[in-house]
Amino acid sequence: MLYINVRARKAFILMASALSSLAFGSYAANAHSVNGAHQNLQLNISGQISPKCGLSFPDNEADVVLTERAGTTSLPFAVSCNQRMNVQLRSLNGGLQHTEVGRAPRFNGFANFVPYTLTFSIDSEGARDVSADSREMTSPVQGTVGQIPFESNGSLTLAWAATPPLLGGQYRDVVEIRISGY
Amino acid sequence: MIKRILIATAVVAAAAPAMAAETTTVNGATVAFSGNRATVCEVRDYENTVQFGALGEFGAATPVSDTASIYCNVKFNASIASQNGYLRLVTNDAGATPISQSNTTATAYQQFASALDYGITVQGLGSANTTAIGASSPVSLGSNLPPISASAQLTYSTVTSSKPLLGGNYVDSVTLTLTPVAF
Repeated sequence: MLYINVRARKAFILMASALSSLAFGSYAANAHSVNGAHQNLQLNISGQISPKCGLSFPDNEADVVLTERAGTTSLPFAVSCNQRMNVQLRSLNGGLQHTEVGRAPRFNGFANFVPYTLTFSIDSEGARDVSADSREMTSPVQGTVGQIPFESNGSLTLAWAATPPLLGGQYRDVVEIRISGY
Repeated sequence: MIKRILIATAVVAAAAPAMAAETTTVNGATVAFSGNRATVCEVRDYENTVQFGALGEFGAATPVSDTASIYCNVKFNASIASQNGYLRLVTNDAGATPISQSNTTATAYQQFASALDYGITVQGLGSANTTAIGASSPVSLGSNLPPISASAQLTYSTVTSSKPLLGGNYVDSVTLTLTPVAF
């Protein structure tokens, strides 16, 4: 609450007009009372910080050498959100898929598809990992970090189990990560 | 003047709902994971030496079997090649060498043969006979064969000669080649 005298009134009214044209936050200005030579003016001023969540990967492609043994690979990322954060993970192929043969089994005794577990981790105490099986990620999988990860770092880790003999060649999957504040 | 203030308030009130609706932001990224499984085509765990033992007068022998692990994780072509084109007499006597690839008769002892044809069967792939394998010219056992990870039986058997064999040791070297091909 702000009280001003008559001499300052005009200046405040002009300021209120200027603020209203900026639409910066919300406020209300009211002529409140007149006591003798003074007139009181009350200005209720409020502001708003826009919600903002950002995610960036310095390198958005990971190449791994596959064997029949279990393995992992990680991509670091930077994240900043000024709200608690939800994460949504979605996989294009539902796993690492042979680029020429596809996903469906085609040759007895050999695998041409490698499912994996994807884990979205933020390096912040108390932050929860969001993990999902790639086969479930052909539809978006939701999770929550449970914290406000302001200017934080993290990693996206792909882990796969031992497999039957793998067909030789290239395997690939594309993962979409969407973050949102709440 | 009060009127002006009320107008200003109305403008702000109209703007406020639009900002209040902005309660979440959505952002994200797309990353790609690529993997490479090396192409491997190998014949493993096979005997380096196949012994027919004592040959009959015309080269008869009990077939010899061996097992080998054949592994190829892509489609492949298989071929087999013989160094000599037959089992050939080991000798320093030029007259005891066979006349040609297609004629096993000894050059100077023509009532005898100094080479012996033999066949090879690779279970699951095919068979070849050295009568059809010229020295150092591979014979195809199959093309575009599916990936394989199996224990295969290799069977070697001699082909009876039309002439008796000169005495001595007969040897050859065979090479089984697996060549990867694209899917």
